[in-house]
Amino acid sequence: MSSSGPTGFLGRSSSSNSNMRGLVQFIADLRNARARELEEKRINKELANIRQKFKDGNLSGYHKKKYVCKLLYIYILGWNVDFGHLEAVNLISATKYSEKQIGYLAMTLFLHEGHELLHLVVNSIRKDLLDHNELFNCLALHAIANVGGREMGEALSGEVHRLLISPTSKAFVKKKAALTMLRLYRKHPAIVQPQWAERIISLMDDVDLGVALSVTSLVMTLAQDNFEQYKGAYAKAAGRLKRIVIDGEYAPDYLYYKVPCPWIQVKLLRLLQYFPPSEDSHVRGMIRESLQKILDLALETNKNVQQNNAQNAVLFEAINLIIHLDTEHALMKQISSRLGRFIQSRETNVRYLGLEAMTHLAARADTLDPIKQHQEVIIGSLKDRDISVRRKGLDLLYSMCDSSNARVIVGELLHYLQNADFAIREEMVLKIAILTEKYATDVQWYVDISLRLIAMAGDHVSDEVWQRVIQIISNNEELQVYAAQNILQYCKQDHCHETLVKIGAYILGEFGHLIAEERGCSPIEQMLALQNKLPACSSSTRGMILSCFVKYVNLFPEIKPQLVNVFSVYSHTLDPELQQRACEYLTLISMPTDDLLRTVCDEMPPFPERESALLSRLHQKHSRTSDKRTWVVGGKDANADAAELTMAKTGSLRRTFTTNGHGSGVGSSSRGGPAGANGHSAANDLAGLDMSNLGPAEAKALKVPNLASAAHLSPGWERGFNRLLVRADGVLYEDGQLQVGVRSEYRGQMACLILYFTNKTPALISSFTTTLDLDESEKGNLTWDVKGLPDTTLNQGGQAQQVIVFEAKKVFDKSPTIRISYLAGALQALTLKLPVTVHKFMDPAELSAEDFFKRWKQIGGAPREAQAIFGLAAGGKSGEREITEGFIRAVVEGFRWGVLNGVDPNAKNFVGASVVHTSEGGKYGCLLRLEPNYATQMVRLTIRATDDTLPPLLLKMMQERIAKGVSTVQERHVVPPSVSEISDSFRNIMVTTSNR
Amino acid sequence: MVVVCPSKSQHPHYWARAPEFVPQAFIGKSRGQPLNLQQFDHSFRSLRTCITQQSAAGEAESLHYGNQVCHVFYLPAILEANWDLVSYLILLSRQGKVRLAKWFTTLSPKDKAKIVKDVSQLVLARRTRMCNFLEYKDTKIVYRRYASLFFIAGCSSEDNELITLEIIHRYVEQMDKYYGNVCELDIIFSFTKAYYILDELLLAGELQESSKKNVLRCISQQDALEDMEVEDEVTKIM
Repeated sequence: MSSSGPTGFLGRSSSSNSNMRGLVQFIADLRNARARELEEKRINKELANIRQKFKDGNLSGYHKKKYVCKLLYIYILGWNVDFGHLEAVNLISATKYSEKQIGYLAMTLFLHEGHELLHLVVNSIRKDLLDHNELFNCLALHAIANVGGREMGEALSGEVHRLLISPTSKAFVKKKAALTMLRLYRKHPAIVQPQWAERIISLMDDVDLGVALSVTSLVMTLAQDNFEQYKGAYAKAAGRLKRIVIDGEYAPDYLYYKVPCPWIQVKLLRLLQYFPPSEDSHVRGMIRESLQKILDLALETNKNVQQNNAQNAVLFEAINLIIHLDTEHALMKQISSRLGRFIQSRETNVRYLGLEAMTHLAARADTLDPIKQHQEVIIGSLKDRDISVRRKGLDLLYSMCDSSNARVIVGELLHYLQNADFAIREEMVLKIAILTEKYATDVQWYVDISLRLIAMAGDHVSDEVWQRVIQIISNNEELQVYAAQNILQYCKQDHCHETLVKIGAYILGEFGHLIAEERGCSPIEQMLALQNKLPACSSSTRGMILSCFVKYVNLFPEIKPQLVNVFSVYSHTLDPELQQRACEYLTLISMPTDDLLRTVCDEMPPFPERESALLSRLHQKHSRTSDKRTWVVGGKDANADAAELTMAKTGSLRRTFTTNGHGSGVGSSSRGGPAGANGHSAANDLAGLDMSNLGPAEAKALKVPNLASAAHLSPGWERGFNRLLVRADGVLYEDGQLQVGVRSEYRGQMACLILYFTNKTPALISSFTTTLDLDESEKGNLTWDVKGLPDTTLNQGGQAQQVIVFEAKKVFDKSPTIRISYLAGALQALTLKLPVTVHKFMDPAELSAEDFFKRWKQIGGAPREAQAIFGLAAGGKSGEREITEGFIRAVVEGFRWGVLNGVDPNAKNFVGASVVHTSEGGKYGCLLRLEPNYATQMVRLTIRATDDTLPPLLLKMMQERIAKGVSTVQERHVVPPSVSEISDSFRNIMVTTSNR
Repeated sequence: MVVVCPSKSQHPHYWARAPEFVPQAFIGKSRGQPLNLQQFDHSFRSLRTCITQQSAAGEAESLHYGNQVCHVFYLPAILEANWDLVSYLILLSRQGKVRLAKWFTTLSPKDKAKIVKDVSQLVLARRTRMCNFLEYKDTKIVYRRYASLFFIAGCSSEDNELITLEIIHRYVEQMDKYYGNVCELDIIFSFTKAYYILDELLLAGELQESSKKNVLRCISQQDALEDMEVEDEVTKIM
């Protein structure tokens, strides 16, 4: 019905414009104005009318709204509207929603972020952000997201942030706030404060997929600049992806043609590409599982266009992630065969995307063989009827080229160049030139191809190309004769492109004498060839030819008269540059001695510092992009070469080349040389200059504390930690909201820790997240593998668990820490130290008295011994705590020493032995002697071990422990929980996930 | 010294405080050793010439850092277009008339007009059964034709093309659901509504909601509020 014509609209009541008859009539009038002049006339009439109305003032809200709408329509049609902006902006402060809405729309269309009128509306926008009506909040957020700049951001970001994180915000407000924040961040990164990171990441778990989608977009951008702050997003993204793809956790409304919210899938897959692959086997497992499912789903082809597109959109992003991960060989294999089918697909879109993905693969894959199988098809894609596909084919051919197929590919490209679109010819010439230089295996081939390329492409050859050819020929003696012969042949032809004449003028001037003896190459023939070109050439080329001629005077004195003749003609030319040149050369050659001439025209030295501007020129044409690029078009070496990558990312860095040894660019001695060898110097020049890391974000990242580190332990962490130092199971931390319990099992150098988290709040907690951290200095000594992540939501009284397997590689000092954060209304977070210490990896040992003393002596004193004499720590009132035999025995055994009875002559003394297990350091034997004096409450503790680092570590921990003493008051004596008590607190969940 | 800022957000205006500008902060530490200023200056010498040659469009600015002057070049604003997933959306009739245009990046009217002109030419020249993607300068154009209207989205060259294509489709479906069998005339006569629906779908160039129901609920809430106001008006007059 709506297609029947404008009349259908007049009756519609819900359409806002239909309330304004004047507007509808006006639009209808303009539609009826068939000629542009009529339209202009009608518009001018209306503009005059509105101008007058606004001038008179006193308009009702309705009329203002109507006129602003008319102005908007005129503006959309492409006419200039230079008045009425103020009236439009005034509508924003109207109380009526419909008027306000038009005001905001007009603002987003008429104004831009720097417009001065925006100052006037900041307060109205703030008022709407604070309004209790969410629709008003939304209007204000739209406005900021459309025209917000730095100033508006600084004024209003606080409110936007509040709407984003407030537990009372409705989902549809939250998602707008997230994207508004994104806009403001793009305009001025400092607006997003570093301490917001954890809270923002936690929103990725929001149950509403719309919110999750918007927040993921925000995190994606933030993570690109602030990698460290947002690395928590990695596991979140992996988890969310799995919940959507595998567990099917989404509202039915988010199914888009049977594909569950493809947009968020694509975002999550993309986000994962911004981080290096995780080392965590559990996270990797989740990603692998999701990717496999995506690949499997994509196998089912179907007729529906939308479903196909959505499925393929996800699939291609998954392929990009697989290529990025580079570790999933099983998945890799699947995709390379599938890409082979894609590039032959009937559907143009699929062909296009298949070629693109294959180019990505070529940029990263170790071997190009799977791609080379399809070489024929790829070459065929250069003849596709769609230029978009042809371009992608060109990119891929460029990327897949190596020394084995260079001849074929370059040949095909040259062949195709003749019929190629003008739009891509210059790029093709560049690419051919680069490939020729890079993969030239013999001298003749390089010269042949280069000259043929220039002869064919003519006008599309950028200066860099022919200059580079000259550089390379000059620097390679073996090329010179062959090049001179060939270029002379070209110059002798009637139709010879000017670019070739330029090369000819330079090469023959320098190396013409090398071929002067050959037939058809005599000095006079050389000279005539160039002289014939003179009249038709541009001024700069003529200049080059004149310079060549003055070199001839030096090389071939026999043709001096002819050359003098040319110079005298040109000494009268109108072009001042050429005239000057000719006059100076004339003077030079008419000097009484030719000393000066000989010096001036001496053979040019090889180019010492050469820039191959080719690559930079190529990248300059592309990739001026701010989004983080994870790869560039080009083979693996292009991507391995950090300098080229940097160049590609920034698009405007020109890299300086130094000569590779003798400055040879081609020839068998420097195969594959230019890019690799020269990259070295470029890397030096630009050392550390990574443009993608620039900006204020960088400085900000330095200031941001790592909240999961030991420097930020939450108050109250110590009690549980100390308790668990001598026990395997127990409560690590407890407050009014959360209880954290630990069970552990140690086998040799491996430890399995199970953490139990119990929700003690009277409500649901969500976005439950844990992050492990360890001091940088200990990273190689203790490693871990997270076997599972806790559920992200915990019902009231509910429990989640996490299994972590640690491995002691060497002796370590510092214990790992865990950051736990969750949303219970606001964001709650705590950082705890995990009771994983080196003595936990000890096993008690049994030794006879004889063995003990033998080893004790073998180990000897310092540095393998540590000793201390100490009493109760100061602080506690004397008499409240004491050291007793039972206490000491408990500590010694808790520290996993094998107590050896009857070894020490003094029965009061404790003697113990144990073995520490580490995987890289091996086993260490440890011996202990503890001499207590209960009368003075003092203790002498001596520890010897087969390793220097161990005794002080163990001594320190035991000393701290013993110095605390035990309470003298019986009632407060801490009774270790019985097995049944532990079971109760853990709800009978048994340790089942241990590896062994 | 020269610093090149690849994007507008790193334009000096956007730096915290220019006098405190520390060049070291702009040198990545990825290679371990920070450069001293002398080296820094040296490595940029060629860069400076390159940039000055490259384009007059790049603007330059001098900042004083200690006793050194730092020349800052930043590339033209048009590059900023690459920031967003979708940097613009244009609805174009087959006759080349713009029916709706939404810009998610800040561009001068001149730049906008140029893009509209170029893009219209490119898209109108495409034949059927060609792919839905086009390269335009350094950006990508994703377009689709629905009856008499072309829906054209400009996005960055790294973006996922198919998913952008489906954003367009979702927009069309959303309008279809709202108007009921939408056609060009709907968009012409109630262009404001078309903008409102787009606002619910795309914000800052990113998709904010893919659930048709949720978007429709927002729009009908707006309509309800409007209708209420109209009724109020009517009762007042009575």
